[in-house]
Parts: sequence; structure tokens; C-alpha cells
Amino acid sequence: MKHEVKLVAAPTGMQPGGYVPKAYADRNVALTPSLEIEVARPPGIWRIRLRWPCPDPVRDVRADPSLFPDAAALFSPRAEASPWVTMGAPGLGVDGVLWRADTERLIAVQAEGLGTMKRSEAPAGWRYDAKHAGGVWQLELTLIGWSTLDASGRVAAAVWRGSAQERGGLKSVSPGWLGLA
Amino acid sequence: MQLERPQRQVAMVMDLNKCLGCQTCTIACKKLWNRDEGAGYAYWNNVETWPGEGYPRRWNETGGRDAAGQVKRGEVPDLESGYGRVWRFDHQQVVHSDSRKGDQWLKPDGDPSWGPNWDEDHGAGRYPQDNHYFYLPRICNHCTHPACLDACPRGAISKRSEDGIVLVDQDDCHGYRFCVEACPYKKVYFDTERQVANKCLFCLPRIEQGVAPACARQCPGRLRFVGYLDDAAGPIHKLVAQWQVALPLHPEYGLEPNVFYVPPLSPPALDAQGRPTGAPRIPVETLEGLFGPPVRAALATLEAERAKRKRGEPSELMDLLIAYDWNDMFKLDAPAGAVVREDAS
Ligand code: SF4
Ligand code: SF4
Repeated sequence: MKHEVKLVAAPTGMQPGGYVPKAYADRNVALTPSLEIEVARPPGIWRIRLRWPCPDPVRDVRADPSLFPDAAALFSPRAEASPWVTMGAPGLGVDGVLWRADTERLIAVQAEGLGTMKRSEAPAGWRYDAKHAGGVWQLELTLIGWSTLDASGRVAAAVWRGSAQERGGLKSVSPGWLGLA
Repeated sequence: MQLERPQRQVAMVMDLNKCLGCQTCTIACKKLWNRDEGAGYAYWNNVETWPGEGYPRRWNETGGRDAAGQVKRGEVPDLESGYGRVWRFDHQQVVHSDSRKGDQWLKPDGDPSWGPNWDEDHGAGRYPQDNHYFYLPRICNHCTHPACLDACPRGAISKRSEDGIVLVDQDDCHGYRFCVEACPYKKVYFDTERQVANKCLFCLPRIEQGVAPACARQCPGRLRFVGYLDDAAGPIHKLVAQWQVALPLHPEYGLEPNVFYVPPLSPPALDAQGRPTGAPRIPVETLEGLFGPPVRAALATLEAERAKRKRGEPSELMDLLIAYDWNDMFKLDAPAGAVVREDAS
């Protein structure tokens, strides 16, 4: 199953702290306008292929403190009412997977609201393959045993463009939960 | 965001009339705290020549506050043109060279075009009429309203209630660097290997033992005073509140820094015939640009007290600034039971 998702800029006005909402009040256009999501479901596995335009990829950020890596994440709601735009809320969490172009392993993430994201080592059965060609990132995620997605069948997506110093709440996101089932 | 004021605030005063630009403080700090591979370029303590471009370059223009103290978008300086990369030297090549003496010299790798202290001793003005410069040592100001703390969406930066020291919790830091952007003094750095923010901790473990920070204790110029702002018997209170000769850097940013500076006096400028004009070589506008309008009154007080001393009259302020006894520069009450090592460097 393939989805073409038009992304929106994550609203900076609701970001925690006093700086981002003011300093980035003008960030209201998604720098990554669209994301293609293709899902295959061999038994017990989520194989999810993401494709998005990225004219100037950033993979290695160790050389300079002003570099930010390209990244993408998928979140799934742990509860029916988990809000997507704030990455969950207290008691209504989300969990998911974070890919960074500078990191060999996927990162498992959990959140219960903006600014609460916790990172941990991804389960052994989570792998990725990423390629950048012709101005497009193609990221294939193989996720074995993502029980939250098994239960909800829904994800929200986020893409960070490193060359534009996107990180944290500066990102392009899907405009809501997307059904993958 | 307005934070509750800490119960006590530890603070530093630096007398710019005494700084030698020797960088002992820079090295003391770097060697003690900040030797990680990914932070080689980062100096929690730096000493820059002023007027000059500063470190990182144009730090006073690239932070997250405007001249009215309002939030504006800052920048994360880059390595090559902002901070300056770490230079590497091939000593072996020079030592074991068989070329003629003088043909080989120790030079940095690559072709650097900027770095900390790149413009050391350049200054401003025309020689010999009014050329001038002074050294400006800078550390994190452990601000009362820290822009770095305000900028962190994860709440990974905190200000301690017992002494007002501002700290990054690197376990909570996700490396977003909004703190680096937002600090108008550019005193949060980023460890590129560990991918976390890193900054001055005011030698917290020493403070907890009643011992002043390494940059202060190792300063051969004896210009750094350390103590609590509210200690009326201590040097900080005397210089900041009583004599009002120690001023915060860029008060207009609105963060209430807790590092204060005694502004530099300077010899007179000369006219075309080489006669003293009576005007100071360091234009008062330059100092006003750093410390705000109160610098005029501070300079007047310093001049008046210096004149008293020259006339042989007593001056408590001059005695304090001269720091006859090094121990008088630091007044930190050690918590009960703490062992203060007087030989601590
Ligand atoms: S000087 Fe910068 S890093 Fe230090 S407390 Fe103030 S805002 Fe934070
Ligand atoms: S050690 Fe003291 S005199 Fe030397 S550069 Fe630092 S502040 Fe100035």
C-alpha cells in the first residue's frame, strides 16, 4: 500500500520554552513538502519505505557544531486519544522509531508530549537501509515486533532537513495520524 | 520567561585594568574540564582582544537577544569561520627535517583563516595618537534569567537554587543547540562527538568545597574576585553594589549576568603634535557599548579613587582592587563540614 502525504510545518508556536516560538514564528511552510510511504506486511514484520525530496543531504555532522543531520521518524499512538501534533500527552503516549543519517542504528523513541521524548536503543529486529539519489532520500525500515503499531495501525511521520538546521520542533510532519493497516 | 531568583548567587568580578592576556585562565579551564575530542574548539573561558571580532566571531551580534532584550533568532557559529577549528602541528616533521635550518617551521595543518585570538592585540585607533585595546576575558555569566535555559525545549538546562550556577544535564540533552543559538554571549558549546551541549559549570565541585574556580585562582594578574552577591563583607558585593564600579556585560540583553567587569581606564589620546588631549585612549563609547551608560559613573569613581591614592590618601576601593592579599579576592562560605584545601590550584 502506498500513500503520498502532503507534509505541513510543525507549529512552532506550541514548542516548549520561550525561544523557539518567537525566534521561529515565521517557520510555517514545510521545508519537506511531501513524503511517500509504502507499506509491505510480511508476517510479523512492518516493512515501511519512506521517500522524500532532499536536495542537499547531510550525513556526517561530526566535523562542525553547526551541522545537523537529515532525519525522519514514525510514531504510533499508544492510546486511541493520543494526540499526534504534540507527540502524545501525559498518559496518552506515543512510541516509534527515529532514523538519523549520521547514525548506524535506528533509535527507539517514546514521548508523552512535546519536549518529553526519550531515546533508547532500538530492538534488535529493527533495521534500516537508506539511500540518497537524484535529490531524494529513500529509507526502508524493517521493524519486527512494533506492538504499538500492530495495535493501532496508525502512524504520524516527521522529517528533518539537516541543511536547513531543522531539529527538535523544527520539522515537517504529516497532518495527522495515517492509517497503515 | 522569569525564573524564581536563586536563594544565593555566586558571582565573579574581573578587573579589566589588570588582565595581561596571558590565557592562563583559558588553559586552566580547558585542561580541567573540557578536553573531550568533540569540544576541542570550545573554550568555556576565553580571553579576547577588544575592540575586536571576539570568540566566536561576532558573538555579540549572533545571539538570541536584540538591544531591547527581545528574543530574536540567533545563529549556531560554524567551525571554520565562527569558532575556528583546532590546529594540528606536525612537530616530528620539523624536528626530524634534514632541510637547512630555518627552512622548516612549525605551522598549522591546512590553511586556517580564523581562530580564537586571531586578532590578538590588533585593537583600534591610529598609532600613535589613539591606538588602543584591552583584554576581555569571558566565561558563562550564570545569568539570573538565562537565555540558554529559556531556549531548551527539553528542560535540560537548570539554574541551581543554592548558588545560581547554570548547568546542562547532558543525559537529557538531545543536541538541538537552541541554547547555543539563543545565548547572546555564545557561552554554550556543542560537543560534536557526544552530540550534547557543553558549558562552564563555574567549577561547581570546587564551589561546593568553598574553593574558587580554576580560572580565578590561577590568574597571575589577580583580577578575578569570586564570592556571593549577597555577602556584604565580600569583594563582590563591595565592587558591584557598594562602589558600583563592577558592571555586567551587555546589560541590555536583559539576562542579568552574574559576571561583572571593572572597566579599563586608559592613558590620554594625543593630538597631531603629540600632546595629551585629556580624552581617554579607549573611547568611552566603546565601553558604553559593552557595559551600558553606567560605565561613565564607574570610570569617574575609579579615577577619583585613584587620584586619592596618588595624593597619598587612603582608598578602600583601590586597596581592594590591588588585592594585596590574594586570599581576600575569594570569599566563598564552605558548607559545614567541607574540607577546604588551601593548596588547591
Ligand atoms: S551566559 Fe549564556 S550560557 Fe551562560 S547562563 Fe547566560 S544565557 Fe546561559
Ligand atoms: S589568567 Fe588572568 S591575566 Fe591571564 S588572561 Fe586570564 S584573566 Fe587575564
